[in-house]
Amino acid sequence: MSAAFDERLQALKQRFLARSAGDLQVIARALADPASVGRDDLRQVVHRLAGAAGTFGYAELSRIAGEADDALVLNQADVGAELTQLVEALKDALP
Amino acid sequence: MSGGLTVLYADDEPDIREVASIALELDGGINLTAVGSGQEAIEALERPGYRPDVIMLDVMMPGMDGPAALAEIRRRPMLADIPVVFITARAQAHEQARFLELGAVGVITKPFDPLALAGELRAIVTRAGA
Repeated sequence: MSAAFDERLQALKQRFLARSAGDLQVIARALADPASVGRDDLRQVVHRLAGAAGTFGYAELSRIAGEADDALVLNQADVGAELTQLVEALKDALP
Repeated sequence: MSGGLTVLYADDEPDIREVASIALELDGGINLTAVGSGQEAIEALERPGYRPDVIMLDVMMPGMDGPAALAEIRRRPMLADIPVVFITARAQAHEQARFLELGAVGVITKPFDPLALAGELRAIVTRAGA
């Protein structure tokens, strides 16, 4: 990997983390008051995390977001537990 | 295929779009046009003289999503034979099968390894015989 590539990837990773801080707020709000966040909006946030986190080196966060994404798609009863786990994983990942 | 490859890529997530873009640029032989939506992909394809070798579409995009963009492409006789690859987060097996039934030649799963992305795309295009 070239130094230039690495540098650009690091800059994008910082931007991803900044956006993820906002995602954390959205998911926490959805957990506290499910009616306050639209289902599609919530899935968009969770799906984005599932896709992006691993690319930026957060494999576990990506895995947990993927499971929450699946739970949302399948409308599983335990989606709250999956989202709670995702909130904790986000807190661990964020600086 | 190891020669030049013209790629149109649509993804609404700017972070992922940029990572993919710089990863594909690393390949050295890929001429990439990256856009932020399915609608923008259609608009790019309508530019006179522009015909990519492969179109890479994120599945989940606001407005015109990947499958809808693929349907639009297939409705245009001049574009209908361009291979389309979907890129998506954690598609389950049945979803991947559905994407192939829709006419995609392959599915790239996010998260992807930036250093392997170009090779993965080239392998799909080669398998598709494009």
